[in-house]
Amino acid sequence: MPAVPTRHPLPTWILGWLVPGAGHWYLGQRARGLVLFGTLVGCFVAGALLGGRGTVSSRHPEFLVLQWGAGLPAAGAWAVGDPEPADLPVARRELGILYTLVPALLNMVAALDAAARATGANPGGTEKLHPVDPSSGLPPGDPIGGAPPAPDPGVDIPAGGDVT
Amino acid sequence: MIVTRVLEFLPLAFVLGTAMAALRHEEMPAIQRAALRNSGKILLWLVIGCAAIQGVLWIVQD
Repeated sequence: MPAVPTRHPLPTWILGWLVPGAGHWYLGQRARGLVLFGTLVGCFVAGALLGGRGTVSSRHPEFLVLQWGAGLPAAGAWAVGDPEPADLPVARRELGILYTLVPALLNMVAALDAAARATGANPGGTEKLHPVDPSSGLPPGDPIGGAPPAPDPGVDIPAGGDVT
Repeated sequence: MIVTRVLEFLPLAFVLGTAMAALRHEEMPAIQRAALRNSGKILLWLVIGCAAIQGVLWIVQD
């Protein structure tokens, strides 16, 4: 597991929000950043192309607020968008909006994840939040056969007596 | 109807599964494996959910 340098979370979050995956790239997690960029930007662009020029526009302010979660791709689509677009089938427009909403919301999650990793609190992923005993593969103190939990140094248990 | 709906949501299932895999795993091969696994699971639940809704509608309308 490569060491993740500690960075300030605010620029990491801003970078990750503006360009999907850029927050993780900034932290040195290149593979993760590339995958996030490809999937999120790809889906957003596909949605914008599918739904036409009115997909990201002030015609749907309730969706536009959420679509801004995609950062610069949303800004680009909004800049070239047309508030009074040519008629398209409603189903196609709705599908385009859905295809832009999902990556926008996922990008907000990814940017927050990058900001959390920037502090060095969780550099390896969510699985590291639950450490396992390498010999048994189970969490410490697991009744099935994991390693016993480490004693709490703050509590003094007298021999043979109850703690009251 | 179900097939159309599942096909519409297929790219979203792939995007969601891949993003979840990328956030959880570090190395590219692990991300790829988890992305396929996640996408398959999401798609399976989507098919089950659509079929269940379709079944309920069929019973109610009958």
